[in-house]
Parts: sequence; C-alpha cells; structure tokens
Amino acid sequence: MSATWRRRSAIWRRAPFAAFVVLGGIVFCALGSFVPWGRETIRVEARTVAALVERRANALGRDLTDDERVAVVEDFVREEILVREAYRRRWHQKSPGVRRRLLLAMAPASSGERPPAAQAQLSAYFRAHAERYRVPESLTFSHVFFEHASALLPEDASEFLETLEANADFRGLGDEFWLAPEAVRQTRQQLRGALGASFADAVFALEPGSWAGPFTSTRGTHFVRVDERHPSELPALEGVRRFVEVDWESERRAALRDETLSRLRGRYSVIER
Amino acid sequence: MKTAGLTLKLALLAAVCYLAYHWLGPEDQQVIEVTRARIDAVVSRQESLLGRPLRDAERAAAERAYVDEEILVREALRRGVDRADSQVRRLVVAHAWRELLRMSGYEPPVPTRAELRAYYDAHARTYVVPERLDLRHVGYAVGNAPADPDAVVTALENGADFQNLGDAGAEMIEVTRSRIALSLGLELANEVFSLPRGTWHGPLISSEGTHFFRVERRRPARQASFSDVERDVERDFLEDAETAAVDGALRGIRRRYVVDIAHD
Repeated sequence: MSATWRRRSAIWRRAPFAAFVVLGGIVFCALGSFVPWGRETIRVEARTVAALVERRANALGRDLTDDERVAVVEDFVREEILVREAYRRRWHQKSPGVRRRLLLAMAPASSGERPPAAQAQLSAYFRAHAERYRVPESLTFSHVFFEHASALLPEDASEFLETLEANADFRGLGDEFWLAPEAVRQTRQQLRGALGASFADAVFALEPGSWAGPFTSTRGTHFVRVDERHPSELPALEGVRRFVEVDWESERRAALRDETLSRLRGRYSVIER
Repeated sequence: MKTAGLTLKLALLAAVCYLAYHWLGPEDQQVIEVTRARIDAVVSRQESLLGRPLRDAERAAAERAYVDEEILVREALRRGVDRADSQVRRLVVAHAWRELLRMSGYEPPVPTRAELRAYYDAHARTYVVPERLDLRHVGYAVGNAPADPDAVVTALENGADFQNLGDAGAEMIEVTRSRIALSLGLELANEVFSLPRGTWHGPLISSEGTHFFRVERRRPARQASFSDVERDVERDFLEDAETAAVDGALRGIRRRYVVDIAHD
C-alpha cells in the first residue's frame, strides 16, 4: 500500500461517520440515475384498459375510435393521479362526503345482523324509560275560525257566543281552515306549533262544555268549545312496542359505538389550540 | 481500525434499540388537533339547527362528539376502509377536482352562442339521437335455458303470451343500443339491432342468460338540432373547460408520476 493511499485513507479512518455519509451519498445518487426521485409509477394493466374501453363502448353503444380509446385511458390516469394527490395532501380526510362514508362504514353492523330484543329486555327497557312514551294530555274541541281582518268576523263577540250556545250549526260558520271544525286529540305541543303558544295555553285553560272566545292565534281568530279533555296516560308496552324496539336498538348501537371508541381512544392524544 | 470497530458497534447497538422499540414499545399515538375555529364551526352548525345558543354542557358534548368522529374516521383510514370503497374513491376524486380548480383560481367561462355553436359543430357526433327500437323480449336466466329454443320461437310466432314465458318477458319501448349493451354487452346489442322487424328471433346468448327478441318498431338515428341540445352543449362546453383547467393544474404534478400502460 502506497504512502499516499495510507495518508488519504487515514483521513477516513479518523472520521468514519464522514466516510459513511460520503459513501451513502454516492450510492444514493447512483440509484437516482436508475429510479427517478420521488416518482410513483401508475401502472395501467391490459385488463384495466380492456375493461375501461368496454365500459365506454357499452355506454356509447358502439366501438370506440382510436382517439376515444386514448381518451378513456387518459381519464383513468387523470383520476388515479387525483386520488394519489388527494391522499398525499390529506384532502381525503377533509372531504365531508368521505368522512360521512367512513363513519357509516365504522357504524356498528345493522340491527338485522343481531338478534332482536327479547321480551324481557324490551319490558325492562320500557319500565326504565316509561315516561318517554307517556301520551300527553290532549283536547278534542270544536272551533269557528276567522282569518285576520276577515269580513265575516262578528262585530259583537258576546252575541256570536250566544248564537253558538244556542246550538247553531257552527260547521258552516267562519272562514275555511286546514284544522277541521272538530279537532280531535290535539296536544298542547301540536297547538303551540300550529297556532302559537298563547292560543294553546288559552284553549288548554278552558273547561269543557261551553263556547269561549275570541282567541287570537298566529293564523286568525277562533271561538272554541272544549268537548273532551283526555288526560295524560302511560300506554301499555304493546301499544308502543315498535317505538320501544327502535329506541332499544338505537341505544344498543350507541353502546357498541362507545365500546369501540373506548378501545380506540388510547391510540390518540387530543391537543387543543 | 479501532474507530471503525467502535462505529460498527454503535451502529449495531442503535439498530438493536430501534428494533426493540419498534416491536416492544408503545403503539404510535396519533395526535388529534382540535382548534378553536373547528369547534366554533361545529357549535355554530348545531346552534343553527336548534335555533338557539348551546349551553355549556351541550358545547362540551359537541366537542366530544367531534373528537369521537375524528377517531372513527382515522381508524377507518387506518383499516383501509377507504381503499376498498369505490364510493369513497369517487368522492375523493370529486374533492381533489374541486380543490385543484380552487387552487388554480378557475373561473367558469361564459360562452357566447357562437362559441357554443362552434362546439356543437366540432362534436356533432355527440348530439346524434341514437337509433331506438321498440322490442318484445323473453329472457331465460343462466342455468334455465330452454331445451328446445326453436320450439320457443315457434310458440311465440303462434301467439304465446311472451310476458308469461321464460323468467322475464317484457315490452321495451325506445330502447337504445347502449341500454342493451350496458346490461347484456355490445355484441348482443349489435345483434339485436341487426334483427329484421316483425318476427321472433333467438336464442341470443349473453352473460345474463338466453334471450328471444322481436323488433316491433325501428326509429332511425337522427342528428339533434343545435337548438334542441343547446343546454347539453353548454354543459359539455363547461365540462371541457373544467377538465382543461384541472389538466393545467396537474401539469406540474404529473412530473411526479411515471405512467406505464400495458398493452396486449
């Protein structure tokens, strides 16, 4: 071994890390000559081309021209690049549609794949949540309706009430309205939603049997007679079985979801900014 | 020499430590970043639905729900659920398309009537109303082909009720070649469209089974006038403009890819 070589190699022996970096760099650059840096290969198999061409030909109802064959493959390549770029830039995580689809895929398997609730389970669930199925108080009442500023609105309300009490056929009186002259089993919530809270409260405060009014609602003026008051009641399970089954299944799915999340939470740490 | 030996030992030690950590160490934790802006957006959406501000407990629940949702999405991605779902792929493509248009500052053009007319002239073939047939069809599913197809044709020619023969019998009105091709293949579609009118023909075989057809009426193809298809022309014009914009945005990106198309 020559003195020159011994001198030069001594430098590398004293700094092996530097030698490693230089050698690695040479290998790295050499590889780059044969494999383009950071370039991915999109390989379009022959059967993929055939399938794409067939699908397009079927859609057009004829064979493709050469230009159309090229265009079909180009469309596929474009789509593949879009997908890869989207993943590279993590766009797929931000797409609301993709998130919804993934959440659907992670939802517990459909209830059809699990046994339905046994009678005992359903009964226990119903007893534990009975109030949820309580039928609220409701009224059956008769009413005569007048639109705001209706020409038919009686000038003398007291006189009109006397007419109604005298058993006039009230069904033909007043203006047309979507709520029938004899409204059956209307809950307070229903009346609030349709005609306003003050009207609902006023009607629910009436005693059955006598005409009263005028009461103003969001739609107009009403004269009302409560015919029957139906108290709130707790139905039997059989009467609300379908609702109970749906709620029971919904809670089971939620419990499965929570169970899955409990297992998964350990994999994630949450940082708030 | 001594130094080289020490370097090698250190490298080996590092490798052992790395492998040990990789196999025995804690599973990598992913970080979910919850920004104030993101939570505010989630809360705002809920408040719009409810028509009132959220209470503190509801706000906390909304934040928890967002984190839970994020965990499930990431877990789905970790399991590769997205890769196996063609619908997700379509959604990803659509999202990427919109992002590239946005990044390129794309503004859709407002074509003049003359430009649309020129587009129509250049793509006139696209606006041909295809030949259509009114057909009667009797189909036998795969595995249930009639033992004597000629007898089926004879029965049909003698007035047998085609809607009660086979596994499916139907009258089909204004059927295009592509409609048949999409379900039964282009080859069979071409066969059907070459049938003479007025008599039953079969058996014609597809991947779906065995078929018998009678052409009742033939409506020839015709060139749709520009005024008839002006809206379609405008739609196609704008689609082409979008595609050109996306291709422009992809020009630099394409250099990252090598496309290898296999040929037969």
